[in-house]
Amino acid sequence: MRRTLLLILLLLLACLLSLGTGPYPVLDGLRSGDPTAWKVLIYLRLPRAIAAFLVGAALSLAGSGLQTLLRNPLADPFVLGVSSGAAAGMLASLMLGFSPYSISTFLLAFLGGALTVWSVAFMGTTRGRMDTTRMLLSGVILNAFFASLILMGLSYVHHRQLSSYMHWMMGNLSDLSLGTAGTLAPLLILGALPLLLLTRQLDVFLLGEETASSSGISVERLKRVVFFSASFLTAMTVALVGIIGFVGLIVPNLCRRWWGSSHTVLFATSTLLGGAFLVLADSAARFFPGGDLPAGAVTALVGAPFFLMLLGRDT
Amino acid sequence: MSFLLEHVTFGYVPGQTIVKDLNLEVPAGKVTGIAGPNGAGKSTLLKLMARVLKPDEGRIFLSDHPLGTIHRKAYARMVAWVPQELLLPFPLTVEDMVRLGRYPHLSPFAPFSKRDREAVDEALSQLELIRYRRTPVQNVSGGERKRVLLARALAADPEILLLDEPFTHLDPHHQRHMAEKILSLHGSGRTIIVVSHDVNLLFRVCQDIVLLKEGRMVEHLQGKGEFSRLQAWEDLFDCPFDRADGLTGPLIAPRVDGSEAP
Repeated sequence: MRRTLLLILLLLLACLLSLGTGPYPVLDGLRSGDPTAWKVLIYLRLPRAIAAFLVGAALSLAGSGLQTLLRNPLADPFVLGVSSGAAAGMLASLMLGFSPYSISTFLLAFLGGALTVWSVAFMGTTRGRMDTTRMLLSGVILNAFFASLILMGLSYVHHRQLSSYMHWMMGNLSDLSLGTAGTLAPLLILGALPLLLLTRQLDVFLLGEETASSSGISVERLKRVVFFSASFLTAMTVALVGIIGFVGLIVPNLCRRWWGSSHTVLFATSTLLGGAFLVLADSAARFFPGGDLPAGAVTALVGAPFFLMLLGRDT
Repeated sequence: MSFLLEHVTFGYVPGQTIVKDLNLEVPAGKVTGIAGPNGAGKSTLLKLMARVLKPDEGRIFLSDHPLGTIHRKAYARMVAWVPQELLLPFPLTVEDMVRLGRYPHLSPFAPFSKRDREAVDEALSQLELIRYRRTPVQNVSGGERKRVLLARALAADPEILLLDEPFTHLDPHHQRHMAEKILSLHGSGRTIIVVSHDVNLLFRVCQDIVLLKEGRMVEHLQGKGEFSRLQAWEDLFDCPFDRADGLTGPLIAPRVDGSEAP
């Protein structure tokens, strides 16, 4: 109960901080009746808060699903190489001359992520069965392969492109509009829905593939649905805002620790806590000297000590 | 409910057959043991019957119905498989794990009913696990974990139990408890198939014992009178055996050259 209250407080705090933090003093402006304050709130702060929440929620949900699928608490949304595939797609787009936040760049980044997903699924399947160890290995190998490609590609891009690429790579939420948040929401729901429908089966899957199979679950179908849903969620977020680490790894672990391993509760709490956490990290990013750092650069910096403190108190 | 296996062949890797052209009938209402040397295909045979694995060739019938024609969940309500051990990647309490045994009875979005809760409580009580219900499975002893695995299977209230090495990693006290539990479950009308290396405990709980070697059935010992036929065991394990008579049946053990009688 105390932890659920803390979650609700975190959500409220995240909301207030995200809407109130930034170079323009929105709260003062609202109090004095300045019409600009409303515009800043509606067109800048609110879309950014919504998008940050959706991205954090999607990454946490994807991380929860992949940790169960791979039966490994160290799994995160990027473990199967989706992020590096998307990053390679983004770089290809820049090298082809597209602007960093164009629809073409988004599509190429998504395509890069999707191609990696397909490759991991193809290499991880033997005799019609998805072998999670092979998938994990394939993901690690593809990560290394794309990292090399990216390093090679970076030596050929212009320094101005390099700067925007690095900004994107670190996870950038500052350029999101209300329209982007509106596009993101239904796509993320589409990716999350299959996971939310499979909570009971995933509970049994925790006992292992063979036990799940003997309990009447179509294990291969379950694995495919979880893998493609989690990968879709990850590829969408990476293509849109870049690579935001830490959220999808730590939030599901913390939720399991606090609320247990039932996937109905895990998915609900991971979604809320993941969303709140990224909104808070994005708000914190605006406090740093120089202002508005990429959210991906501060998630671990802000989150790691906070989560370590909580874990330490919990043991 | 009886099992019938017709010409069943299975291998994990192409060209390496584990179960070879196996024909076997497992009668209903009995405790049937499966014994054999390491790598004989005992656990694989149990997994084939549990529908965890699918035969490469041949067919398996449950009460005259080919397994493939029975809905997965309906099958799981009738047949429960208890593995040797479970490795859990995340914390799970004893009660949570036993609750998962009810999965075959649950429709996708229906809440856990009163009947489901009663079945879980009954399974916990039968295996004397009530006081451990809030304990993480990772924190209970090996013997208690075996009981948790069995309780999870019993929560589904199956007619057939497939037990893979239920006596391994247990001290004699807990082995005795497990053997008595198997007899009591048989007393309630269940068909039970037990894979074990512990020949003497198989003697005590089984009515039939199937001897497997290199994926083939070499003997089907039907009735307790057949069990102590030393030649069958010596041929099965390729070693000489000693025999003694205990109060609850014969005892056999491999003869160890060079050892002295106490």
